[in-house]
Amino acid sequence: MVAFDVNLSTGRWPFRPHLHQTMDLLVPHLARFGITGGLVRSSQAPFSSDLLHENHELAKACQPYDSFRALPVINPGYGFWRDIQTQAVLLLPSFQNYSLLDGRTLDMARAMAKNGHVFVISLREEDERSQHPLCQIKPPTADIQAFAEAVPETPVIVLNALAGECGRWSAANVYFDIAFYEPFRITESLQAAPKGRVLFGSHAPFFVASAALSKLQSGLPEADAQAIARDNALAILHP
Amino acid sequence: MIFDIHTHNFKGQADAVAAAAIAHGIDRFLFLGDVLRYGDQATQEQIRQVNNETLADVRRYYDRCRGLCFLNPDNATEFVVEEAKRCLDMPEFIGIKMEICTNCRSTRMDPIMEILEERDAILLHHSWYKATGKHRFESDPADIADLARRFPRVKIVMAHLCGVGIRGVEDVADCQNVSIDTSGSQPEAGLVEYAVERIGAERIVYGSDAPCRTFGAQLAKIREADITEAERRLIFSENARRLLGW
Repeated sequence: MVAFDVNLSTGRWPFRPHLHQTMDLLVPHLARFGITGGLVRSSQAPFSSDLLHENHELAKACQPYDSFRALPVINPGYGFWRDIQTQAVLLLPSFQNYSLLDGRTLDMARAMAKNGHVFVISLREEDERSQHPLCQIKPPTADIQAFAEAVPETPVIVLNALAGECGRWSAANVYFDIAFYEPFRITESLQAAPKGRVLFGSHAPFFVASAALSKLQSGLPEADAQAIARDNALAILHP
Repeated sequence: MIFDIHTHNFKGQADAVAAAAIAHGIDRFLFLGDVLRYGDQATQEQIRQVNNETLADVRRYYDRCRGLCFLNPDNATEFVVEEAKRCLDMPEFIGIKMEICTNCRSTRMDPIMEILEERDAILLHHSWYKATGKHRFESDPADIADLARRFPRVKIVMAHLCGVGIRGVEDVADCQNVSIDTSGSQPEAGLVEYAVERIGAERIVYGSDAPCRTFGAQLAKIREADITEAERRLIFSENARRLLGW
């Protein structure tokens, strides 16, 4: 199976190092499992105040790898969002202390939606129970539906949602990945999920990459598995 | 061979867990009981009910399954001792499971530990380092280390490598009677490698925590780990077989 992974990171996560935290280590590691492309965000961006620098470093890190696309972070408080060239952009509202439903955020989102951007929102990077005790990030789960309704023609890709959270979003433009999605009856659950709106995401190098693949290899029909592994993502992301 | 030391036969789910285990190539597994059904203060009657259900569930899969006896040390000591002996006298039970009823630093653990020492049976104890959502009596790895030092001849399996993290491994590093199971939380990368490097593969055992988690994702933690094949075999089965004598 060939997979396109919408949930990859590179760079040093502030709280612990990861084995494959640089692209030269991550890309060959992913290739072992058939993950040949994806969206890559910066592990340093969530807590950085210099987002342009992080985006620049991310673009440099991804540049040698054609099928791994840099996912720059935007923030309504930083005006550079108007100059962003990539189709997909990352929002980290809880990490960067703004709301998805602020007027300024929605103005930015509507303007970017008109220009054909796709939004990616990371709800969390770690299990909340394991976060640093002085750095407790609350996922903006409750705001996803209203945000998606504000940009109804634009895909909103939600990363690292729990299975119980995914059921709360009925908006047809909300997509979610399977990195944190782990109900015991995984195959039945994926088959019951909205067709076309489940994407492959491993959250490597935080998580072992093959864990997410295993969720597609536990009895899911091959066509459904391939749709999640790659086709659903490529249907909304430009080549 | 794959030996899963940590699955739960929650009410009505034992058959589904067993079927999924078999489908994923798990050769042997332990049922740890429906240990959270009655919260953190299960009564004597509730404890006995959970253990009787485990007994029935194990009997249906006895060719590949054994159970652990669930206890609440805060019940009357006479009952705790009687229930431990009742279960361990049956071949279906090969150890004791503790959840969150009593912090394991409590001396109420002592009679149970004495029985385990006498019978050379294991204690599998829940543990986690939580920044949020910690239960009032929940034990963390420092508590487990305290218990292990008080009873150095009792074989303890500290649950949830991915819940205790690096700090948890460090807490029990010098407690040679403590092994760690790989269950808990998401399939975080690098922790198996860290634990193998720090305390040795001989003290790591595979556990899934199914049906709280999926077998596939939890197996991937071990299959993908950057360790030797010999270390992988130890974690997948050889250590559990040595600890349990089965």
